[in-house]
Amino acid sequence: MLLAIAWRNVWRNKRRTIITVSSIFFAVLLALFMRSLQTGSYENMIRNSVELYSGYIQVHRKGYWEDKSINRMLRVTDTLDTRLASTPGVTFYIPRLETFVLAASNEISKGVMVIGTSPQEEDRMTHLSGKVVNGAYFSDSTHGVLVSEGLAGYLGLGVNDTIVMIGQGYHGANAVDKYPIQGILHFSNPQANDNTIYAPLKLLQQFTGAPDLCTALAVSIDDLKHLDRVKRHLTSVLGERYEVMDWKEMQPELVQAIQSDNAGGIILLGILYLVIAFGIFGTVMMMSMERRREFGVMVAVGMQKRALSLMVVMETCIIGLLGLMASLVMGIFLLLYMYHHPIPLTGNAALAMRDMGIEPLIRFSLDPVIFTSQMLAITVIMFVCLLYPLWNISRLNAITALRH
Amino acid sequence: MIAAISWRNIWRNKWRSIVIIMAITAGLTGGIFTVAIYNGLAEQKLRTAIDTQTAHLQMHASGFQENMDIRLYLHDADRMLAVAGAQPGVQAVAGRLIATGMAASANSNIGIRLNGIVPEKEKAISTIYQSLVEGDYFQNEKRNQVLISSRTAKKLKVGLNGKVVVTLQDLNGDIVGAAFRVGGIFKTTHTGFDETNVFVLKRDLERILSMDGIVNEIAIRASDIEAVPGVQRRLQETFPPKETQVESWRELQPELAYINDVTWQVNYLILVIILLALAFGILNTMLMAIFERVREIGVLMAVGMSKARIFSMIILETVFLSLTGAALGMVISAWLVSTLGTSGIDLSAFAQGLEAFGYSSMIYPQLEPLFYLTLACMVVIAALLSSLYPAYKALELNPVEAIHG
Amino acid sequence: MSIINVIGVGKVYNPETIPVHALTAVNLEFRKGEFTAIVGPSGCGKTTLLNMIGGLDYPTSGNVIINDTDLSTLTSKQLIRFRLHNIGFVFQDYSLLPVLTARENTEFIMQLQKRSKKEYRERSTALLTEVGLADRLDTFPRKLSGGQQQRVAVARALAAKPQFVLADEPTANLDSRSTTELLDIMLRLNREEHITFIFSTHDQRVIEKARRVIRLEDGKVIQSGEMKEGQ
Repeated sequence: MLLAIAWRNVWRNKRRTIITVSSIFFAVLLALFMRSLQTGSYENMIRNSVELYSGYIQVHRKGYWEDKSINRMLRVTDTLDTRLASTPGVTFYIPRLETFVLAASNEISKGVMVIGTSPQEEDRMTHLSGKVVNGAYFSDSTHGVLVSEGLAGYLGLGVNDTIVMIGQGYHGANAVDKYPIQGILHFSNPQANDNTIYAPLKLLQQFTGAPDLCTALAVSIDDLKHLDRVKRHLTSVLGERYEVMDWKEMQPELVQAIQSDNAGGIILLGILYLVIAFGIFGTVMMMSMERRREFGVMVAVGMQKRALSLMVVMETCIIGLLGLMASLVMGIFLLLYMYHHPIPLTGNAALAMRDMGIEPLIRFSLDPVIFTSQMLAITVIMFVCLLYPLWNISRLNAITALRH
Repeated sequence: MIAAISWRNIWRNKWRSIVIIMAITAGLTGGIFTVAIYNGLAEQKLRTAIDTQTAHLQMHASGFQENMDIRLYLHDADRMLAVAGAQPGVQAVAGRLIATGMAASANSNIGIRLNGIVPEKEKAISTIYQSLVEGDYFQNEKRNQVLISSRTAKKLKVGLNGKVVVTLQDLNGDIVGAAFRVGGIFKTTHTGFDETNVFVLKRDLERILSMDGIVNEIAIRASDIEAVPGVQRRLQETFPPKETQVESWRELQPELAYINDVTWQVNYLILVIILLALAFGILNTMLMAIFERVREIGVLMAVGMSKARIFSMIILETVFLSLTGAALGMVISAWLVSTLGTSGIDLSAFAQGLEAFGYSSMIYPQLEPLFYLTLACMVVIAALLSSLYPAYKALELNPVEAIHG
Repeated sequence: MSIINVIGVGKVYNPETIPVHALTAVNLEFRKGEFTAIVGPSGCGKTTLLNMIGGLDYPTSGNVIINDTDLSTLTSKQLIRFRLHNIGFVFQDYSLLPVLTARENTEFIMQLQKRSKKEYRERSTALLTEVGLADRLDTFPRKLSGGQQQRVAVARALAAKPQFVLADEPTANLDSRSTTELLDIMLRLNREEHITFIFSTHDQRVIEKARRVIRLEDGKVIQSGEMKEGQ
C-alpha cells in the first residue's frame, strides 16, 4: 500500500517529476559516456604500451631497470626456466635482449633501440609478424633484422638492403656489424615506428658478445586478474638475484598520467552530480514542504512516522530509479554501439595522440564499474537528499502541521 | 516596477530559491575553477614549451626538419640572422647547429639530439640556463662540455664531470666520435624533451664535425606571442620557401597548438554541460513558482496586466535568480583563482604523470577577466532558455479559470 | 459507562514568553454513545480541548484518561498507535489523501491496522454505502463535492472501529444541504451503531441536533450539559 501511495505521489506533479527524472537521465548518460570514453582510452593506452610490448610482468637481473645497463644481464638457466614455467598463471615468457645502437646506412645514421627476441614467442604475445608490411617475418636462424618503417624510410633502406649497427657490447666491448634487412615493420606508435629494430635473439647475442644472455624476460600471464598473485609468487621463488616488475612499476608515468586524467574526469562528474543533486534536493524538499499538512493528517489518524518516512524514501527512490533505469538502458545501447564503432581521430588531435604514443582512435569501454559507479553515485545523492525530508518528518508535530 | 516585483517574487519561497541559487553557485564555482586549472595548465605548458624547446619561430633549410640531415644547413646564415633580428616584433635571434647521434657512458648508451649553441645568444631565447639542477651553463671556457638532463644522467649513470662519448655522422657520412664531460645537469617539466636533448657549445660541435661557421637552425624570440604570425609572414616573404622554411611554434609542435586550441573548446564544453544541468533545476524551480501562483497571475491578468508584461516578469525573475547564483559563484571562484593563482596548487603526488605530458607539478589556475563576462552571458542565455517554457505556461492561463481554480 | 475522563486539564502555550492559557482546569466526562457538541466563541479552546482528548497534544497540567489509559503516560509512538486503534478523526477541510480513491482512503486506516484484505474490502464497501457513497467507491477526492468528501472522511474515521470520533468543525466548509445530510448520517450512526461523536461547531443548527452541549469560554467549561435522550 505504501508503495502504491508513493508511486501516485510521485506523479502528483508530473512535470516536476519528469524534469527531475530527465536531469538524472542526462547526468547519468553523460557520465556513462564520459567514463566509458576515459576508461576506454586508458585501456587503449595500456594495450598500446603494455600488451604490445612490455608485457604485464618482466623479470630482470636485479638493478637492470634502474640503469638499463647491458652489463646487467641474466642467463636463462634450467632452474630459472623451471621456476617460471611452474608458476601458476604464467603461460610462457619471451627472453629479450634490448640495447641502443647507432643504425646507419651508407649516408646517415640514427640512434635506435634494437630488440633481440625469440621470434616464435614474440609473435605469440605481441603478434609481431602481423606488423610486417614488406619482406618476411624472421625465425631463430635468420641472419637478418626487421626494421621499423619510419627508420627504414629515414635511412633510405628497403628489404634486402644492408643496415649497419654500431653499439656497445657486453662489458664495454665495441660492437659493430652489418645485417641484411629481412622485413619492414609498421607500428601505430610513432615512437616505435621511427626507432626500432628487431633481431633474432641469437644474432643480437653474437653482436653484443653476450652469448646466452638477455636483459629481460617478458612474462605472459593467462589472466590480468592474476597479475598480483603471479608477481608475488615469482618474487618469492626467484629470490634476490632477480627483480620482478609489473607494468605499473615499469611505466609509472603511464599510471600517473591515467590517474591525473582520471581525477580530472571524476572532478568534472562530481560537479555535474552536485548540480543534479541540488535539483533533486529541491524537488524532494518541495515534495515534503508542500505536504506538511498531509503528513500531519497521516500522523494524526495513526500512521507511524516510520511508515511515513518509508513512504518518502520510496518516493525519492522511485524518482532516482526511473532516471537511473532510463539512462542505463539508453547508456547500454549507446556504449555498445560506441564500443563496436570506435571513433578514428584525424588532424591535430591525431597528432597529439601519436605524440603521446597512442593510436589515434577513441575507444570506449564496457567495464561494468562504469555502470555500477553511476548507480552508486545516484544512490548516494538520493540518500543525502532524503536527509532533509526525513529530518522534517522526525520533528513533525501533528498539531502544527495540521494548522498549516 | 516589473523588475521589483520579479525580484521580490524570488524571495517568496525563500528556501526553494536558496537551493537553486546554491546549485548555481556551487556548479559555477566548480566549473570556473576547473576551467581555470585547465587553462593555467595549458598556458604553463605552452610557455614552458616556447621558453625551453621551440622558441617562437625557427628557420631551417627546406627539408632539414624531416630527417635532421646535417648536410642541409642554412647557407647564408649570418645575413639571415641579421635580417631576422632586425624585424619589428623580434626580440632575439640565435643560430644553432643541430646533430643527432648517440651518447654512451661506461654503462649505457642512448640516442640523442645535440644542440650546438652559443650560450650568450641562447640565453635570450631559451630559459634552459635557469633549469640547471647541478653544474653551470658553460661558465668556464673548458672544451667539450655537455649539458645533459637529469634523466639522461640517470640513464647513463653519469654525474657532474662524468664522461660521455658522443658518436655522430659528419657531413661526409663518416662516423665520428668525441668525449665530453658533463658540465651541467638540467631538468625541465617535459620528460620527452629531457630524454633526447643535450646541449654543447656550437664551436665544439663544429670542430668535431669539421664544419666551420655552420648554422642549421635559427631560433627567434618574438616580443609577444601575438607578434608571431606577423613576423613569420614577413620572414616567409623575405626568404623563399624553396630554400628556407620558417615555422612558428604552431607548426613545430602541432599537438601543442592543438592542445592549446582544444583546451578552450573543452572548457566551454564543460561549462555548457554544467549550465545544461543547472537549466533543469532552474526550469523546475520556475515551473513550481508559476503553478503556485496560478491564481495570482490570473488576478494580474484580470486587472489588466498585459501578457507581454507577465511574460517579461517571469523571464526577469528567472534571470535574476540565475544571475544571483552566478554572481556568487563568480565572486567565490575569482577569489579562489586569484589566491591559488599566486600561491599555486601543489600536485606533486601526480607529478611524474603530468610531467610526462609536459606539465609542471605546480598548477597556477588562471583566467582572463573577459572570461567572466562571457560566462555571465552564457548564464543569462541558459536562464532565458529555461524560463521560456514556464513563461509560456503562464501565458496559457485563462484569467477566469485561474482565479476560480 | 464513561470512556473519556478529562481531569483538571490545563494547557498553556508559550509558557516562557507570553503565556496563553488555552485551557484552565477542565474537568469533563464522556460516556459511550454520546453525541456531543463543544461550542463557544473563536479562541475559547475548543480545538485545544479536542486535541487533548484526541491525544494529538499533551496537556500542561491534568490528565486525559481514555478507558483506563492515561494518555500522558504514552510515548509519542505509543500515542500514534493508540490513536490508530481508539480514535477516529474528521477534519474541517476533509483532509483525504488526494492520491487515494474514496475506498482506498477508507481502507488506508485498516491497512495501517494490518487487517486482512478481505476484511477491509468488505468493511470499506459497507461504510461507504452507509454514508451514501456506494456509487463513488473508486472516485478520487478531487472529483467529489465537499459534502461527499466529508462523508468519506466519516467513513475513514469509523473504519478503525474507534472508541469515539472527534470532529473539529466538520460542517464549517459545507453548504446547508450537505450539512444536514452529514448530520443525519452521524445521528443515524450514533443511534443505530452507538458510535460516540464529539465535535466542535459554531453552527446553531448543528448545536440543536446535539444531545449534549458543552460550552467553553476563555478556556473554561461554563456549561457541561446533560445527555438529552434521542430525538
